[in-house]
Amino acid sequence: MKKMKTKRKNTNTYERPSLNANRVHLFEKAGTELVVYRSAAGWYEHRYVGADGFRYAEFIQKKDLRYQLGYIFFAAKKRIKDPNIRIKVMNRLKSKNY
Amino acid sequence: MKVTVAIPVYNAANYIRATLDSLMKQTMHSRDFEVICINDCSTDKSKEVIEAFKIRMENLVLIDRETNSGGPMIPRNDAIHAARGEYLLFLDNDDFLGEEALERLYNAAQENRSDVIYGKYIGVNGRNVPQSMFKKGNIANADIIRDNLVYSLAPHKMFNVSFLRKHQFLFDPQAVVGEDQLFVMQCYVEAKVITVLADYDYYFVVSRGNENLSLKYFPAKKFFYSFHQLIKYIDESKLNNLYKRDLKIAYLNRFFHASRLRRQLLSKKRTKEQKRAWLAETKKFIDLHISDEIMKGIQPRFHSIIYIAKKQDLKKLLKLAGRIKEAIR
Repeated sequence: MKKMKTKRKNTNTYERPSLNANRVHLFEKAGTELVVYRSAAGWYEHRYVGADGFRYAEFIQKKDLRYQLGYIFFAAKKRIKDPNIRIKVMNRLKSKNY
Repeated sequence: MKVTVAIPVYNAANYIRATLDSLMKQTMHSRDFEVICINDCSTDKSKEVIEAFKIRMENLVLIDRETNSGGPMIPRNDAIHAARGEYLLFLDNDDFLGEEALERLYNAAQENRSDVIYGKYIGVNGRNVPQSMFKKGNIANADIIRDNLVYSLAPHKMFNVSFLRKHQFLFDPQAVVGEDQLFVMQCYVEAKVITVLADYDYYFVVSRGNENLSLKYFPAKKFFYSFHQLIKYIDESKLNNLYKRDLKIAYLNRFFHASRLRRQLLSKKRTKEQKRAWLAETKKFIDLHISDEIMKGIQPRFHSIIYIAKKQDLKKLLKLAGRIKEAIR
């Protein structure tokens, strides 16, 4: 899960991770905040609840989104505190495979 | 005709557009594949949506069932009988394919003469999908145990139609839970070549909340039916005895890990009577299929639940459920 913002005006989301798919939403403003999830190569998944109360997913291109500064700090802080990641980093440093 | 895509449809008007759209925009030419939608007496506008697509898709066939079958098994069997393609792919009415999926799957199946072939799954809307079998990249001739195929027993795969018809494989309508596991395991056991492709995002499995049948309560007997049949099939197959034993162990580990058995046994929603019935059926299952030799291969984390079921010890079961609840807190 990542909090990201749209880079440009008029960013489209798609029904499937493909530019040939039907468009779902249009984010007119640049900087619209979205919570997205990892998906197919080059795409993020955005989840929303439709007017009928069902949960839906739409897809947005990775290149249309940017990280927020706040999120980068949050993720870095989390990585530093996470013992598993710390062990991985230490092992990598030890193996000089970096 | 190269491929038949079978879609059992039941009340999917909200989702099936994306499914059919993904098929309409396949890179494989439309004359090379057909799409069979089996409408299982939907009460919403599913049929109208399919008919609207039919105007634009010449290769779309609608089979309208007269009575509701209560699950996707019988519609899938209808598709096996009606398929005109060399290969048959089962697609659910809310899932969709990558646009190159059919072309890539068919070409790989031809190249490797595969009986069963499937491509990388992507979970959508929070759906968990098996991934371990895709880590090694494309596998032309996968092994059920070595390549972890026991963790991928969903029917969202492409099957050689003549292979299915030769062995008369059909979904068992008596099986309410795990019917797809029984079908896929039968195919795995008899298939000469199973191909796994991981080079493209082939199949998108979409979660739509808790509408999954396997989350609901079932009498224990109904629950165990297909699992009994599945292990019986492995036992009676022509596989080498050592391989048979290892396959049973691999499957039973998967069963205790991924099936709803532990959830049904430990859930606080079940009454004591229901739990007793479940324990009795679990004991039957264990006595029939888990010998001492097999037990050595079962992961230690499942030993406690097997021991409790063998002893029919309801007190210990409730204690275990309480401990798990505390640990979650």
